[in-house]
Amino acid sequence: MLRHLILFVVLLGFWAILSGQLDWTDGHQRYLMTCGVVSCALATLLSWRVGFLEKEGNYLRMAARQFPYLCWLLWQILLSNWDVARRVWSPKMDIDPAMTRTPYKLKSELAVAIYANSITLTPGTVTVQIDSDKRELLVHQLSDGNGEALKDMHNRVARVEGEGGEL
Amino acid sequence: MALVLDILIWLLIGLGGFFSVTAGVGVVRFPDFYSRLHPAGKNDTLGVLLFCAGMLVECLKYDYGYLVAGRLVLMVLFMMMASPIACHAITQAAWLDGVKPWRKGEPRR
Repeated sequence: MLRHLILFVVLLGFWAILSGQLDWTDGHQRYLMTCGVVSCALATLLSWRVGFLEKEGNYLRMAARQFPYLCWLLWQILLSNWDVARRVWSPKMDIDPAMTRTPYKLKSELAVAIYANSITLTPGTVTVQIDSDKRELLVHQLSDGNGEALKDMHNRVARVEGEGGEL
Repeated sequence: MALVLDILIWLLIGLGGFFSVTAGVGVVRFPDFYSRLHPAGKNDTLGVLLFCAGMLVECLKYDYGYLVAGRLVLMVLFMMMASPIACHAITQAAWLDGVKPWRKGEPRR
């Protein structure tokens, strides 16, 4: 129940930001705001009927833990961008690309998605394929020596998920 | 104060432009399909992120700018999720189709 309430509030916030019509004294805007509340309620009702929110772990706790992770990720994105930009502009173009496989022990699909996306965004690596049977990621890297960085990132995501499973 | 804000805005937008151009140059210069997607997936994302940060600062100058600022934040969050997913989808398609990755020493394709 709490989850649905949170979903409703988040949807309301979404509506408010996207529509920007928040003047209750104006008749037209009042109509639009009513429509917003009704459609948010409808969306929440439907997602409750479909059982959309019962699937995976605790979203609230995960969302709270995600904030420091996002900040760290932003910093890593800056570093990796600088790295790739350096390689792009250097006349010798010192790259030594290779395909590697790296295991993961994350539990939920959401955490795996976060991990795979983070890999693509950061240290000179792109996730090519997710093998959920063997629990491995196929990763293309621009240069050698990203193993430690990937492990570190995996453990950070595992801490965000909060169900153990660090490498 | 306005001058400081303007300098900050132009710095952010200029850096965003630099990274976007870098992405373009990288796509042309890198030797094969997979390595080309590195600049396309990473530098482009940061480019858009910096552009949006610049425009976010610009928004702070106006009344009701917070509404536009909120939309910009949503855009950045969406870009940060969508761009690596698109990148991943394209590489996976290439991999399943049997495109061989380039190794050091081979001629560029």
